[in-house]
Amino acid sequence: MKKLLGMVFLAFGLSGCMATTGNYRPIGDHAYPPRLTGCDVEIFRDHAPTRPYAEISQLNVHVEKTALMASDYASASEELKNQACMSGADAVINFKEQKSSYLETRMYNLTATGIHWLDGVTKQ
Amino acid sequence: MMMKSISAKVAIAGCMLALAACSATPTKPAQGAPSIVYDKPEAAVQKAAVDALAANGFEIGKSEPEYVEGSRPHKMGLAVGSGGETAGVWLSSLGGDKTTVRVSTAKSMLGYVGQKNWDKEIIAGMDSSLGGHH
Repeated sequence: MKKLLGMVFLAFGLSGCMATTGNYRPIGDHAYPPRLTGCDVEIFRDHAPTRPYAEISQLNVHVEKTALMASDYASASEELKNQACMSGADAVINFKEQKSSYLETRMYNLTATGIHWLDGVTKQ
Repeated sequence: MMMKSISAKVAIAGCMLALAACSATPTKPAQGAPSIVYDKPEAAVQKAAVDALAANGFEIGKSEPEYVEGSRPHKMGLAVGSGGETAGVWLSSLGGDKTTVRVSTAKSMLGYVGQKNWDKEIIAGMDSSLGGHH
């Protein structure tokens, strides 16, 4: 019984003090095939791209940490790229960051737009 | 032998209780309860509901034309942790480009103290996408 209780507590402990949830929603009627996991995604946080593109997906990453630990873009960037690859995007623009908190939990939400190059040149 | 059998049954019952405590099912607000109306087609409002839930840390579990549901993962913490809530968004077309929305958050037993009602945040997220409600 003690061993069973210990395993239950360990399972709950392993659920961790941090959660990262990511998702994407296609924009428009055209469906783009997913790219390979870990694909090369260009990030345009500070300036707009100069190449012609089409917006193809709404990307969202939400990071939460308990114990008063804060999150930032670095915590979410890897998942953002994962979601971009899954949505078939070549690059990401239109970043919106939001921070909030509740009790000991610090929340960071990142929303961005996945785009597809229209000039046919994509890095793999 | 009998003690082991009883202990096993207690352990199974405890696990089932723990699993039940981990989640909750949101209850659809009654017909006369306050609702909000967006001057947008139901499909657009449904997408905004999905985005709003995701932006507040909900993992989308159901995404139907007239109902969206998501759950927040449990997290341990120093004192109370967070997560465990489930929120539901019910949509109903009023015809044309008007959609009525009702939101409800349910809290689970596990980690109840660290949970909160997310209705206002979800509606605020939808307002941000759709340009406000009335």
